[in-house]
Amino acid sequence: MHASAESPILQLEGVRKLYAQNGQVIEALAGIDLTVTRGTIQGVIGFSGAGKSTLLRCISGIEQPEAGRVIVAGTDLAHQQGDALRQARRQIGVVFQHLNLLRSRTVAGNIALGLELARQPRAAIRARVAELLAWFGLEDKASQYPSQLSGGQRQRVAIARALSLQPAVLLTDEPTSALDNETTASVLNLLRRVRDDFHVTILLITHDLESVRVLCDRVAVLEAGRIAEEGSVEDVLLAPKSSAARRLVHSGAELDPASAIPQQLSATVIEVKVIGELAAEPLLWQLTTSHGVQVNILRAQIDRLNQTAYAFFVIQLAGSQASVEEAIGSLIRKGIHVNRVASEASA
Amino acid sequence: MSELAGLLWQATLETVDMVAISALFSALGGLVGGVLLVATEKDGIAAAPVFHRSLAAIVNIGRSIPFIILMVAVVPLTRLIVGTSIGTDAAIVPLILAAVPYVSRLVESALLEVDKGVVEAVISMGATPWQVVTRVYLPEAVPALIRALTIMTITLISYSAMAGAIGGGGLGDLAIRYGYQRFRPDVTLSVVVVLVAMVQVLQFAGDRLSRYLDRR
Repeated sequence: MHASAESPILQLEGVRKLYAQNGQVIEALAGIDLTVTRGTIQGVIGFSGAGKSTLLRCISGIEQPEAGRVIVAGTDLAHQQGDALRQARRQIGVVFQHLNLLRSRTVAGNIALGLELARQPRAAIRARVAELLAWFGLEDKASQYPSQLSGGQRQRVAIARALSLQPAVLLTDEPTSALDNETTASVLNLLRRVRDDFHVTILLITHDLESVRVLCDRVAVLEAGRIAEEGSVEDVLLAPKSSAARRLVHSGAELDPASAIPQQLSATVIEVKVIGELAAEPLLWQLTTSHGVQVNILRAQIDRLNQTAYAFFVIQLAGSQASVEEAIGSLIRKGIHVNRVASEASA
Repeated sequence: MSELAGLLWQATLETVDMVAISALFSALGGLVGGVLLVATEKDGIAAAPVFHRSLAAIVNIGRSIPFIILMVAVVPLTRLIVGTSIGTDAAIVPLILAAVPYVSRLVESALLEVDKGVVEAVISMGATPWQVVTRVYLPEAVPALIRALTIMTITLISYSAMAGAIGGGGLGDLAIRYGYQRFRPDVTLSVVVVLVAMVQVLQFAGDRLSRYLDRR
């Protein structure tokens, strides 16, 4: 939606990274292809060990892959050395999982660091730091040390520091892992505003489905060093195609519908996914009034993905075979995704 | 009594002189050595494994020679640099030679305490190896470096007392010539009291400064 130009800002092409561990060679990244368009908030989600941190290190230019290309704003990081590599690294601002602020420097000193390393003139550094302090609401903390700040404040300092050199891509590693629910929500909200105000593309590397759901436009599912699935957040979360994505989507909510069916009941159980405006309609009520079936809700969830409303139900339909089929048919005709979990479950 | 006080004062000044000058050069040499050890490591910011192994070997050799032997062994070098092999100036040469390898290891372990993640963060911001040393390693390690330099200075005080054995001057020399050779236990006791006081003051000051500068 923000990628109106549709121009790629970050391209990964066949990125492979090997590690030697106890004399064995481990393939941490087994050929990653990913294109991120300008202005997108792209999630990369995976269980631990999927290769997320290796991917972060390759994209940020801390390490270089054995094969493939990492193209950021037109420059291939994987094939640069020396000063050219150092220059290219500045196109990516990284917010590390552990923030990695310098404890010997004040808030202002931490934000100024990248500018100092780039040997910018003093006046320019001071102006940029003041601008970032103001945007992040940290003016009164400028001369404090990181140890004197709260977790959320430290997070803001780390984001401000990563933005100091006006990078094309902001890479955030598990930005919410150390925060409580309230702070998590405000950090995710902050990142969205950062994208809009700083015109930066954001890559969010996480294991947390909730962060992806709330923040991302698109998401790539990483498993065993490969991208198992990539698409819009709506598509991947509501209709996951790969088994890796399905496991991720279901692991948090333990949405195994069959397990929710009471053993003594005998009827047809269906999973219903409603996306968009239809989610607000009284669908279940219509099933009862129009088709004369009894509806028993086993599980229900109504929520928003970005701006899209969606509803997810597991319902049990009881009634004559014909009326149940008719009810299911009416849902499908409305464009609603229906999945039969069990027919005559107790049988 | 005033004779003893005069002798003690003179010897204390000599010791302070020896320790101050050798501490300055040992600290400089040790900082260079420690930074090189950390930077040239296999995963270091300027990895150079062959150089690292050679430097580590030299440091280990330097550390394994007992000070009393080193002092005698470097007499020709001392003569070359200072012009004499007797006196406080002459003692400074072996003191520095003995301390630099030791301080290099102390500095190395102080620098290794610096969070690897912070080093990586700064590298990802486009820092050169030199910038990583001057902007991250040294400033982030200041409290640990002060503790290391405190240990170094105290070690130099005890080494400098040994230098008395070969006519190096200072408190050790006084204890040997008067206390031991002329049977004056009051001199020996006074020397020990002064040395203990010096060590206590240094350790206290070092701890306070280190804690004051610690931003953890």
